[in-house]
Amino acid sequence: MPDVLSGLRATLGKALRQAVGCLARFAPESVLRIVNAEVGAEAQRRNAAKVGLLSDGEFVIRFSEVLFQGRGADSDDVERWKELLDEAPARREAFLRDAVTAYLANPPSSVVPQLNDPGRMHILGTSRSFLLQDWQKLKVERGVCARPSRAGRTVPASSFQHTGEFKVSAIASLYKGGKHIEAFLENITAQTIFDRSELIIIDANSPENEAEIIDRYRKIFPNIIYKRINYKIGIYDAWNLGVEMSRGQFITNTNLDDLRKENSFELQASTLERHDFVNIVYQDFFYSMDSRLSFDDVAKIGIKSDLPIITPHNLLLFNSPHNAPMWRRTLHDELGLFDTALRSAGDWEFWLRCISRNKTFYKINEPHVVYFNNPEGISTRPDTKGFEEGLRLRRSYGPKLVSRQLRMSRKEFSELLGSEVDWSRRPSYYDVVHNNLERLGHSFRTHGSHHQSRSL
Amino acid sequence: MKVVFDGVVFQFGPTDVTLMWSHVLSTMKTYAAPHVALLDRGGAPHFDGIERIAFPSYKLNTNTASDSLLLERVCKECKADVFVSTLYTTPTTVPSVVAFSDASGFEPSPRQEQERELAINFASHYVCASDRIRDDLEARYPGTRLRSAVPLSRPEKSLQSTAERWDALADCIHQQLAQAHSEGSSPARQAFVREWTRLRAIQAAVEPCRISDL
Repeated sequence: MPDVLSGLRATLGKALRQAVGCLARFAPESVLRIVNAEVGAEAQRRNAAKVGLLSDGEFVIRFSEVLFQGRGADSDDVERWKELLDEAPARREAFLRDAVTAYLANPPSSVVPQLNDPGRMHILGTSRSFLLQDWQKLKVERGVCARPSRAGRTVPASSFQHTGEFKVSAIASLYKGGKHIEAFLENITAQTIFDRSELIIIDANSPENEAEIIDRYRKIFPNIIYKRINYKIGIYDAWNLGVEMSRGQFITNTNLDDLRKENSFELQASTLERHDFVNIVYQDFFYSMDSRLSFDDVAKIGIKSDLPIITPHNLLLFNSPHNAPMWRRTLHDELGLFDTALRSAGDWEFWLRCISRNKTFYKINEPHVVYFNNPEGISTRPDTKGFEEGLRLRRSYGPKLVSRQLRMSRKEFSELLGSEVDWSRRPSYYDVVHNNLERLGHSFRTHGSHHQSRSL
Repeated sequence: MKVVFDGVVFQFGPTDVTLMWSHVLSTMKTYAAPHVALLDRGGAPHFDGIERIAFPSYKLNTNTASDSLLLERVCKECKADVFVSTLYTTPTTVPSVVAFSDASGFEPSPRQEQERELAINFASHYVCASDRIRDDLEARYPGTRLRSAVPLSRPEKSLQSTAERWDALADCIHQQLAQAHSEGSSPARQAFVREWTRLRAIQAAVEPCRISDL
């Protein structure tokens, strides 16, 4: 350990200084002695007092940047490491030694994200993926053919009348969307409740003159709002502008290359209306690798996500509501707007902010949205900022979202449950609660009361 | 009386079990009174006179405690008096009736074994589609007041057709609903469900997310 630390001191870059700082705050006594030689007696006393108080779970969270190569800890890490550390303080030193050595050998800045293969799509909410070949095979098997592009068609004459009510505000950020704009407008204006909605398009200085097509639609649909910004802005700047301009009770984001079923807005808005306790709705969605296909064609191919009920723990791992969610506008009054410092993960950050403030997500099972896998889009390019931003989010939200109960020591957890637990077989906290529930139910069934036995 | 049925079993596609539940649900309107709502987690058919409420699909191996907390919120929102699941799902306070059938066709995972134990421990009333199922379960969960759907007046072998057996099950469920409703507000039960809710919330908070379970 002294060798490792002298190595650290000799090469003090910013990240390594943080690692030493981290060690000084939370390492076991033997490590602290070495580090504290430099930081003085006062700090020594302070740090030594802290070490004894940390549970294994808390130790893993506080030390996560070093232990997990800069990505922060999630609930599964905490569970696994608690089992390894086994409330034996001496084990922490060995784990720290290995972690710091690994950290020095592969600092987070050296970790290169795996290149995205545009021909392979991970199916969100599962551990499965599919290949472009699978998609093409299914397309043939199910008799789906691409139709001619709809661009250039004349907007059909219509007797469209807006009701004057604004239930839904759909926000779209536009940049280089010439290829998709007409199909997009046709798709959104065909929504069953478009007469109670508005579409706000924020043009981030796109060079493709989409305004010409948008104007044709605006003549028929006065509820299409178009605003061009004369300089390039980020997607979340555009969304924030849209939110500020919106009049709807509910907001949804719409991507130019995605597709919605005709009743998509209606399904989402009616779910929010039905359940007062719900703040955000999301849904399973179909995957498409061909932007020329209609919603029904993509549905026929039938490759779709299988998203879970959102919990703080799974939202920390992946962004379930990333595709066309709908949320109450009032969320922004309470929690603020999207973080414009992020280029790719600003929506994920907002959902993490929501769940950390106990907001409720509700899944609609019916897949009424198509996600187009576009290898040219920013979120699927190998050089995406998404990887780095994802690490940043996990580092900052891990300590907030990995539950305090999961981090508790065994003694604290037993006290919380109000029962003694036999920890000799290292049961998971989940199974311990299960046993308590069983005993509680058994006691009530057989004695008509819920007196629990105090030992397992 | 408002009864919420969780149509979770329909999510997994048509089987003997879904046929049985379709029969039970379609006969509910013939009983006097109960207002029935069906939670549709995907694949639930329409039944005359039954309200449908869309509810998130169920994962057999993960988030079952979170699912239970969400069920409770929806049951409370629609003022449910009694809950019946077509699998082993449970709310946390609403009195619950569990029905066990022969036609399982469903190999439970370790998590589903746990959920079955919790469903038995949480429920106030139980209906078994046959005497055999009742005997098996009684051996496994002694002290549980399990009730067979086979009428005392008619030996099991006299129930010739599947439809007769399912009718008997529907009758029995209906009787148990009324009893569960009447016992739902006793002080002892209130104390029990407060503690149950607290523990289930802790269980949801300590469940780690493993991608492999999804």
